[in-house]
Amino acid sequence: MGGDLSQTEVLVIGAGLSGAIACQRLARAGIGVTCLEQGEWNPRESYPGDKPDFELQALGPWNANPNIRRGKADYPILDDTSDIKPLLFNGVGGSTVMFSAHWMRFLPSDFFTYTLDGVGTDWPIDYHELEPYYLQTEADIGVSGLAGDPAYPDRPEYPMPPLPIQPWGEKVAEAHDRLGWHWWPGSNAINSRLHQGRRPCVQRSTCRAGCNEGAKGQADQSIWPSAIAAGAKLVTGARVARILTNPQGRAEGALFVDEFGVTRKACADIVVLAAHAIGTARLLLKSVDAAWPDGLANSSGVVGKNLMMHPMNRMVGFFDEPMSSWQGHWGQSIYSMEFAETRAEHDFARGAKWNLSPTGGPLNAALYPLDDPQPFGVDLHDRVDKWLGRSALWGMVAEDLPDSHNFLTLDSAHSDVDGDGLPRLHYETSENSKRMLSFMAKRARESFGAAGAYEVAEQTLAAEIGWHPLGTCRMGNDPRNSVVDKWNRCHDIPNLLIVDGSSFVTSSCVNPAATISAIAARAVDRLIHCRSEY
Amino acid sequence: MVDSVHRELILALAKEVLPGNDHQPAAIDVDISGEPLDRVLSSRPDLEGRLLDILERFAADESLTAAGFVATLDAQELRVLMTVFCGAYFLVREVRRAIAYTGQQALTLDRGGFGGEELAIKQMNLPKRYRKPPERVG
Repeated sequence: MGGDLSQTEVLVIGAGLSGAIACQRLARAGIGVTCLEQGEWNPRESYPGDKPDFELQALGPWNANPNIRRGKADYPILDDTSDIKPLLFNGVGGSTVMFSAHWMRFLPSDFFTYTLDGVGTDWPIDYHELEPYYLQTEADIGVSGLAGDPAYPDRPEYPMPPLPIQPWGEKVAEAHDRLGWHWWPGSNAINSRLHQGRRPCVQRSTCRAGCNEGAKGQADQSIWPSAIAAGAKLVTGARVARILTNPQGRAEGALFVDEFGVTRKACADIVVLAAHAIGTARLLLKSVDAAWPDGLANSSGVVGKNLMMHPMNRMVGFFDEPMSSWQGHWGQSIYSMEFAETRAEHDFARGAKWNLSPTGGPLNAALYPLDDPQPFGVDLHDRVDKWLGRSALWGMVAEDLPDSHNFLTLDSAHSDVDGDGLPRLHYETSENSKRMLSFMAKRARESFGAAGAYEVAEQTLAAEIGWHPLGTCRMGNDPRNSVVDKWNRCHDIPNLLIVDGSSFVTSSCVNPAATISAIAARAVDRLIHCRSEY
Repeated sequence: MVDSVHRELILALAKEVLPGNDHQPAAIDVDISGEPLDRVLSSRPDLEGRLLDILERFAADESLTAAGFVATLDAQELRVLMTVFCGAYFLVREVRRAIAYTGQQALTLDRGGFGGEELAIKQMNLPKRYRKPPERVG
């Protein structure tokens, strides 16, 4: 137990993907950096994937919903006012410990939704500005995939070749070829070869509860070891209660509670927030004082606003042939961007990304929340018989557009351990998203039908799958309607950066991890090269 | 704490929830109320209290058959019941054999290719389909 931490050049809050990348790059540049993380290291041996009760544990102590998991580092999130329940993980590596590792770049059009389609807001940066950072972080994380996708600009080869697309992927790929639809081998932050000392995937299909092999590019296994080797300091069990500012309006560190329950101070020249779109907004809203009565860095009033959650539908296709579809990487076998871009003939703007996945073991089959009621008795056996080993799952992720009516606030009726209000999500799925997902469901039935599925089952608006909260501290050129500038610096506080998914302006339809990584790397490289300006 | 009475109630409900069929044993035949149940509650101690509440309600209403009682459960209660019952059932080796489930196994990656190479080449040769945004001014 000790007093305040010694002054550091940069204090990073959150040891998830963006925080790990920030620390790695800062440490490699010789800049003193300390990271505060409220969770702990979770050793590979602790993951349940190689144990017979994996599926049971994945529904409980390894559930991605913090309100169900209720781990020591988790804070309650009030989600009864949200159509979609948030999924995240608090610990070293953050949500990448549990993510499915789909590694997708944004499309070039994603940065110009207003100019191109009259919806959302344009970003102040574009695809080409992020491109070098996409490349660098793909190498650091370890991404397998195939270059040449016509849905994207040209790119160099991935660090590793793609993982097998599996029998179900081949069926659907053939179907899309016949339909004239796009498909592509999945790009995943999962090793297909030995990569930087980490093993290749063993196709156990348990990625969602941590990778026992070290094959998944979760940040605790891919980024943190090199960050620490370069000199980054990581303090676990350190729950930040407030960001501290000085009378000159600059950030000067954070107040945190250590693993022994002792309140301590960490001072720094520069503070970097990397605490997730929920955690970062929450922390800014908690950090009120006379100078910042509405929350730190919130002169615009948009901290917590424009929450995006990526609504999705899921569709299961049932096939006659046994395919052992409980095995395979739980990331994407293939993806389709056929309906990812706006089309004039659609009754919705923007589009959805589809990802095809394996379908898990018998408990997943038995309990999967399809639109049909939970079966039991002979109906349950029928479901498991159809599902187990003979099915594939399309997930259709809708691009969610920013809306000021979707937001995060602190609910003073429910206090956290500091006596502040708990975060409450207010989120309603837009009519645009509903129309989009209705269209996608029809097309996914065609896809599976063409692939030979004899039956499909649907889950409309998968309420329990809120993997991608984004946008609560958005980036922009105008301090009146954005929180950070194009370099992820807070407009209000020049030495406070926000480098996580809260800085997203729009959500794209693709999984955000690749873009979170690229944005964090870009923001920190600017800090390294223009240090005196901060 | 689950006692012998609770275990009897579990078997009574299991007759309805997980009967046998032509290739799978019934849950009562593999006695999910014994070791399988203990394994589930060891993995998921958070379920025990809610399970006991459900069982005690079942015990308290003698007018309901097992099927009738299951029909009275709300979605969350049914989820708890099914998680425990199915969790126990699918841990039993005999059941896994019957459904040809070998568990989540570590396999060696096939290095011969990813599959679908010829189809991917066809895609690769198609025109680019992404929309080019405008050049940013300034």
